[in-house]
Amino acid sequence: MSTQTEKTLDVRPIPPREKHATIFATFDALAPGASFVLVNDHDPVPLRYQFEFERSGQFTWEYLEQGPEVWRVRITRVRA
Amino acid sequence: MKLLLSSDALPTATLDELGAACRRRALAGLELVLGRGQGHRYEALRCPIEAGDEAVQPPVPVYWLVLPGRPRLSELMTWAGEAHRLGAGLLLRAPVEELPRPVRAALVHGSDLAEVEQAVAWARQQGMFTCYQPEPEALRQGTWRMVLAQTLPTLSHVRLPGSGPEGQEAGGPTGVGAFLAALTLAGYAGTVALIPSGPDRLPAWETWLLRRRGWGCGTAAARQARGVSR
Repeated sequence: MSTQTEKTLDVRPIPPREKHATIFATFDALAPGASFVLVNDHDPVPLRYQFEFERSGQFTWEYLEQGPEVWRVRITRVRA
Repeated sequence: MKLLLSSDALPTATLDELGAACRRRALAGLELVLGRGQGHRYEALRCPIEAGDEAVQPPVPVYWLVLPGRPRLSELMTWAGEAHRLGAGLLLRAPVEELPRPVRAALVHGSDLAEVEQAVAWARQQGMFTCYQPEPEALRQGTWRMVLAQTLPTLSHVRLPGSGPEGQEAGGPTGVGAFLAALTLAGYAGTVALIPSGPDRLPAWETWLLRRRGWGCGTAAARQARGVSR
């Protein structure tokens, strides 16, 4: 359930070449069970594939908003 | 965290044009810079005849009014009233001792640690806030980390240079990503306004804000870096 204090990472202002590194660094800094909401200007499907490849079994992916202007995805680091 | 557009990015634009740019980029609202003769002419509010005795209704929410220099008390009163009407806050460039209530205000500081200390002390004393405007160099070198450690408890607004069209054109690391990640992990829930890093970047901002295109995709950038065509 979304709360006002939920951590939010809006990646739109981040230069393209820094985006994925920033998202993975944020994810890796989360405590198990914690999450952040990713905000993007398009459906981050390729990012999800990258997560499935590089962080398989370590995350959950929940769409909170799917366009047309903004996509919001809650990415949670699952408990070990 | 809410993303805003600063009128500094489109200094000749009218209020309607700024509103259209916000909607085009799905930004939450505006930071209006006053006292620099910008195209939004919001200062005309101070002259009831010029304003037609009517309150201006901005096309998108205004979150902050940026006051120039050290405002006189009369200016402060005027803009505090207007900020209250808009539900906005005042961004101050210099500390003021008498703040009309119930205005919400934040003192802007850069990365100089003495300046940060002064801003944080002012915010605590007044029960107000701080606004961090990191210099592009501070973002690149990571010196913002020491600043953030001090200002975060009172931080309410960030003026962020180097994103938008500048990020798309950047040849090397800008540090914007690491900075925003740190804000996220700290649970920052304030506003971030996009500003140009210098007047020479204004043509790129104008082009970027007046057309409808993506912000630039991390996947495409990664593919380019790996030399993959698609």
